[in-house]
Amino acid sequence: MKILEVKNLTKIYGKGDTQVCALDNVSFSVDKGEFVAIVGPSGSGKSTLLHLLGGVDQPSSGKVWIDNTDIYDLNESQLAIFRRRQIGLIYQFYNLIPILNVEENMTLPLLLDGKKIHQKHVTDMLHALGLETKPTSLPNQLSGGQQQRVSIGRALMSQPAIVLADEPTGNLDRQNSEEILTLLKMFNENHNQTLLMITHDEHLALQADRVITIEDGRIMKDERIR
Amino acid sequence: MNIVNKLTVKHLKKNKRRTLITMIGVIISVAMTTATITLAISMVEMFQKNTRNYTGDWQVAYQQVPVKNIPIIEQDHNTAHLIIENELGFAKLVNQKEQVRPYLYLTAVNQESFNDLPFTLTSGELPQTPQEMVVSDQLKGVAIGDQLTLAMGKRVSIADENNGEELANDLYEPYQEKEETFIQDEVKTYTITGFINTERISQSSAADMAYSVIGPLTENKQVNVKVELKKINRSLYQDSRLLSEAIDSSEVTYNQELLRFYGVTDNKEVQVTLLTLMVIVGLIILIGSVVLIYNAFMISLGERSRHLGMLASIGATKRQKRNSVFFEGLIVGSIAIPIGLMMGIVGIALSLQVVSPLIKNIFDSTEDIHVVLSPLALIGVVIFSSLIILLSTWMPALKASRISPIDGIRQTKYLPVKNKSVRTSKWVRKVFGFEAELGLKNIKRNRQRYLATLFSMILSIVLFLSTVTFTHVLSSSFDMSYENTKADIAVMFFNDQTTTDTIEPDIKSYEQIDRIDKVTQVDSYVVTTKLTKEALNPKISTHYSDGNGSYQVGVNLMSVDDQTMEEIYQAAHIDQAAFESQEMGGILFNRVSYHHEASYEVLNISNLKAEDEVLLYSYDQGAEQEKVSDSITLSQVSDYQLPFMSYIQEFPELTIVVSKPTMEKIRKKQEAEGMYAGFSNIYIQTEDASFVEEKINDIMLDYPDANGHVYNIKASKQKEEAIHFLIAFFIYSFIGLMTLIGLVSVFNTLTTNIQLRKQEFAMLKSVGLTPQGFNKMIRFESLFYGLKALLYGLPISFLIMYLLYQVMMPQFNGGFYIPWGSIAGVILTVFVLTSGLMYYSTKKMKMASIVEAMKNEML
Ligand SMILES: Nc1ncnc2c1ncn2[C@@H]1O[C@H](COP(=O)(O)OP(=O)(O)O)[C@@H](O)[C@H]1O
Ligand SMILES: [Mg+2]
Repeated sequence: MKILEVKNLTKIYGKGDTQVCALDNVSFSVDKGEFVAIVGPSGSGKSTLLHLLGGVDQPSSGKVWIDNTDIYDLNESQLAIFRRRQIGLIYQFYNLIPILNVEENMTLPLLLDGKKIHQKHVTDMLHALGLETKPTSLPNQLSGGQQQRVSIGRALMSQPAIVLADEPTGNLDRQNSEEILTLLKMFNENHNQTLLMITHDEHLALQADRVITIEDGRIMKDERIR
Repeated sequence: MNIVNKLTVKHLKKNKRRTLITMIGVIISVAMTTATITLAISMVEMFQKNTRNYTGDWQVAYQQVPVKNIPIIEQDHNTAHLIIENELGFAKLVNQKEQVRPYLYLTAVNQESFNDLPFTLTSGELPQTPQEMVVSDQLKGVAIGDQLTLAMGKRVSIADENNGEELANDLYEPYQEKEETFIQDEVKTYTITGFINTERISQSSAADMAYSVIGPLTENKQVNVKVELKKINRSLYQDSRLLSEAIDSSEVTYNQELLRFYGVTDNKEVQVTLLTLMVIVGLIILIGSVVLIYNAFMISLGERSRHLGMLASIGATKRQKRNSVFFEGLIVGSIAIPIGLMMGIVGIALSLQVVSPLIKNIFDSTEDIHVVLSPLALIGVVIFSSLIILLSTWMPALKASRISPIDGIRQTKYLPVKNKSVRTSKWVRKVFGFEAELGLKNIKRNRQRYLATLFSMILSIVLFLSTVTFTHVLSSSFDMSYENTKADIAVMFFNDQTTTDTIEPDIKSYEQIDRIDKVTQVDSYVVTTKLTKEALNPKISTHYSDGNGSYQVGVNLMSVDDQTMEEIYQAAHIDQAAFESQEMGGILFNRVSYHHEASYEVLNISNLKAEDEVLLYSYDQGAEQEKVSDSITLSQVSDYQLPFMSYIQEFPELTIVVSKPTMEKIRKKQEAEGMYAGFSNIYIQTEDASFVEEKINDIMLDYPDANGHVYNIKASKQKEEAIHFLIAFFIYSFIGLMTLIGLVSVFNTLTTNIQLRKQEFAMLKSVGLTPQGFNKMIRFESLFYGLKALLYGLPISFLIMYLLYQVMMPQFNGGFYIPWGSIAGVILTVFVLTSGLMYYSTKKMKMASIVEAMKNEML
């Protein structure tokens, strides 16, 4: 079952002489439960692609369907609501809200949705992320690895259709990186969570089900390794 | 410039908007200080000049100094000029037309001092020799070039003529035609060289002024010497006393009126009041400015802490880091202070241009008010402002010195958030939603900035409301102190037989003057009555107690012209028949305007009722005691206030209107006993009061025997209005600028708060905050700010308003006035302003895309 479908996605920055084609007519699709790694040299358009998939940027042309919804057909508010329910974003910089504590940061999409929060679900998540002792800590009281785990929790909390991660371990040491990946894989396997991850790290990429290689805004390779 | 300072300059340039705002704050506060001080100095200068015009230009006067000792005064190190006065005294004009004043008073002065005397030459020239003189232009029938023969001599009282007992041969000894005579010593001849206007010298009823030049004097001759000093300070009292002994002077006197405006007065009270006022104004400016500037530097430091941390990691010392903040203050100050000085001066110059005529009117000044720049004061302002900046940068500088390399690496763009400070209660989320909770947490995240913003808002609210109250109290007391009388001009005559005879034709001619709308004529006669305590309003009864259980109250008996009487019948619903048929009947007008301490109040003076009898007492000289001379029966007691009688009184009287025949009866009886002392008052309504005043004065000149006076009530009303306007003008300018400082401060913090949260907003959007949700968050943030500010601001304002009442209106009876309109205005303004500011800053920020913001690290 296709959870994500991308058709002729193009993103052009700037105008005239300074024009850069960051993404050039890219098409592919991802099935539910897949773990896809996206690799490629710096400046090849990986982040641009991820932003377009996450609905936080506007494509120059092309379409993106997530769970059969054409996301660029939605207006701003609808898209925002769609994001908090169906898309989980993880960044290299953890981008937590400094005035909210761990638990609040994690449940942010649910809070924004005004949904009732099941405490059991939250506690389970805290356990899974190894943050069970820190629910009321503020982000600046945490280490980098812990902060990234909070942001993973935030991305997974609303059980979205797809989780998009842009170099989630780029800022972490080897051991922390391994731990983060293990976590992501665990959610992928145990909860059939669809996962798209950009990484520089060959070693990490090889743990995915499928690796897409991008160069100059185009897909060069798309191979299933598992 | 070292590298740290270079970075500081770069940082200031990069944050142009905020640097500008900081400077605007400094500029306003410097301008206000400059304007306040310059205003004070200019006023004082005007008062000094004006007083000199009236008193002459001198500070110390030595009476009766032997001529031989004058050089001692001249050589004193602090002497600038001398006025040497040889008072030749009274003289009678020989073979001249009769004058308004019977004598001439001649003073010979040293030629150099003519400029320092308080008169102006209206025609001709100043005298050059002891045989020449200038005379007052009040003198009639003489011309320049005339030779006048003067009989010099002394005034003596007739009773003592044979003993030659002198009257105090003082200029201001009133002339008493029947009781004094003149003894001639010698005859002298003077040539008139010019006429002088002596209006500014207080007028004597006995003599016109004349000045001549001092001639050669014997060395023991005693003259009066007035000294203009070089330096005026407190030691002049001590110095002059010593000098006075050295020169054998009989007495030292001081030009107190003038010295008052040099601050060299013995009157401590005035000084304390002025000082308190200055300290209060200074403190308000200081606090407002420090909060604004401190806040601005804190924000700036927050943004710079990463640089400073980086610099610390490569070896910047504590001192260098601290100095970088002081350096920032130096840059801001060296640009903003000169601009502020200039704007303050220009501002006050423009203001004075507007209000100068008002000030002249209010203070009866002959001098215009000009901007006076005192270098010393301006230096003071610079020091004061530098102090404000230094004070405001102190804490930020200290913080800067403590920034560690780790802070630079850990990147504390935000000051660290503490758990405690962002804790909010559960109900906020439950009631208003999560966005509202986020808004509230945001407000509290940075305690220092939150407090600064709150403080600025509270200060503005409190200042504004207190001022509104203050001016209200002030204006309400003015409004009441206007003689509520409808009259624009009042003419009052002492009502003896001679005066009455001349008044009759006068009144006829008043009515012929154009531009008079209405004339009311009132004969009044003030006597006393005795009442019981119960008959008086307890609020005022103590004024009248004679200590023996009886209360002596003034009674203003009056009768009015027929037409006015008709009007009173109508307006006060008087039972005319009852009044007219009542033998010795009177109508008591019971409402009085009572003045007590600083306040005014309209109240009923007595509890008297119709049919009550009011006994009139007079002093029986034979029996040497008071006796009842007449009695009035009240036919009616009215609450109507006679339009011409609503003067404000400290010791209110019973106002009783009687019929003309009744008045005549009382008058005849009193006159027979030689006791009558009534007044005839004419109240005039007119559009052109000064024209009518002048006309009536002209007529009065033709009746020098009539003992009367013209009051221009309209002019005094206008003067009070001018005072009111002036006070409001300066207070509201002050308050406007203070509020502006507060506003700038709030603007600064709110916009910066939003700016710094750019990425945070982007992040919130990326996890699905809708535009509506975003607006809700911002709305709640402004709402909470506004609520907090009002929560503190309003009670404090109420407290201050209440205190103002306590202080200003101890007896104010109108109840505690609450300016609801202004409060509603304040509430509205606070919310409009905060949400407007937030809206403005978020609007500017919407451009930033989520993607852009995501590229940067946030925590
Ligand atoms: N806002 C932007 N304006 C102009 N060019 C941009 C912008 N963002 C990215 N680019 C360009 O688009 C290309 C792809 O960038 P990006 O997707 O960030 O690469 P990657 O994440 O693979 O390193 C690069 O050449 C980059 O310079
Ligand atoms: Mg990238």
